[in-house]
Amino acid sequence: MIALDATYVPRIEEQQVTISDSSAHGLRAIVIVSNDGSKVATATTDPWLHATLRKIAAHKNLSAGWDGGSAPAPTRECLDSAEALAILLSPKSIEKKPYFAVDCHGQPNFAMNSKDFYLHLTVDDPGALSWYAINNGEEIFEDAVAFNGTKLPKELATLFD
Amino acid sequence: MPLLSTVLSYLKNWLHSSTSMPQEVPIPDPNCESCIQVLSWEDERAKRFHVAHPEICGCEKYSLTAGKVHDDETLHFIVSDPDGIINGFLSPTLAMQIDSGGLSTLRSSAADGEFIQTLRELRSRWGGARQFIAVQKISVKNVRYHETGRLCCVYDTALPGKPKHADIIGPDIEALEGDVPLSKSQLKKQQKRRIRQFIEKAGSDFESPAGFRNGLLAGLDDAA
Repeated sequence: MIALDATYVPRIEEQQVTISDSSAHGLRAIVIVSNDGSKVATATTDPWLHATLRKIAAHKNLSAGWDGGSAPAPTRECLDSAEALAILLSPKSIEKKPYFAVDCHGQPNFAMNSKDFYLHLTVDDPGALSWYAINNGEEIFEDAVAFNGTKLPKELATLFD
Repeated sequence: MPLLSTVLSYLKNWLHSSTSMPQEVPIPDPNCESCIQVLSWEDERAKRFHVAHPEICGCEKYSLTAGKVHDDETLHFIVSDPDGIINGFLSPTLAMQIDSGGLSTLRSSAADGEFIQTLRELRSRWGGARQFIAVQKISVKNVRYHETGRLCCVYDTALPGKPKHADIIGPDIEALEGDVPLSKSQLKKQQKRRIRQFIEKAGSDFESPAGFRNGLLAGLDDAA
C-alpha cells in the first residue's frame, strides 16, 4: 500500500518528491526537486499535475454506482497509486501527458489519444499496472507491471521519452 | 345467375372456414428466450449476452423489446466525464463499457422525453466526478463491423420509460478467435485493442449540450 501523506517522501533517481497535506480541498501540496536542489515542478506550477490531482481527489469517497451505472467505487489505495503516477509523469512532455479517469470497474486509468501516441493505462491494483499503447506505430502491451510509487516502471518511462 | 350465386356462396364459405381454422402455434425459440432473459440483469450484460446465443451477436436477430436495431440507425451516447473526449475521440475509459455492462445509448428515434429522463437518472446517481459534457452520435453500421468481421453487437434493450434504448457490446473475444482459450492477460490485450478500434469507428461526431436537439438537455445540466 502506498500512503501519500506528510511522511511520504519517496526517493526517485532524478527527483525527490515531497508531499504535505496542508492544502484545502484534499489536494496535497507537491514539490518535485532535482537531486541538485533545483525545483522541477509543483502542483501549482504544472497545470496538468494540478488538474490531475484535483480530479483524483474528486474520486475519493465515492459510493458504488457513482458513474450512473454499476461501477464500484475506486479504492483509496488505487487512487494513491494514481497520485504517485501523476507526480512521476509530471515532468514528461505535455504532448504525451495522459488524462486521468476512473473506469466502469472502479479502476483508475490514464489515457491519451493523439496522432502518434495512444495510451490506455490501468491501475489494476495498488501495486500493479497494465497498459496498451501505440507509440509511433508500434503496438505495446504490458500487464501486471509492479509499481511501488517511487519510480516509473522502465517500460512505461520509455513510452514517454 | 344461380351459378354465380352458388360460386359466391362457396367462396364465402371457403373463406370463412379457412380463416376460422386453428392457427399453427409458433414454437418458442429458446435462444430468443435466453436473449430476453439477459435484459433482467443490469450488470455484466456483455458476458450474459455472450452465453445467451451460440452465434456471435446472435441476440441481434430478435426484437427483444422495441424492435431490432438496424445498420442505418444512429445511436446517442451521453459523455459524462470532463475528460471523456480526447483530441476529438471518446476516451478509452468510457469506451470500456462495451466489455462490461454495455455502452448505454438511445436510438435517434427516441423521443425528447427519453433523453430528459436518461439525463435526470444519470445526474441523480453521478458522484462529484461526473457531469454532462456532450452527446456522441454513433453510426450502428460503423461500430458493428470491422474489416471483414464483427467489432461490436448492438442490441435492442428498452428500459422503463425508454423504449428506444440500445446497448453496444463487444462480442466474446474467445469466440471471435475460434473458441481458442485465452489467458487473462491475452484477453485484456485483445479487449484494449478492440476498445481502440471501437473509439476510431465510433468517430468524432459530438454535440454540445447547447447544440443537441436545440438545447433540449442544456437547461437540465444546471438543474439537479
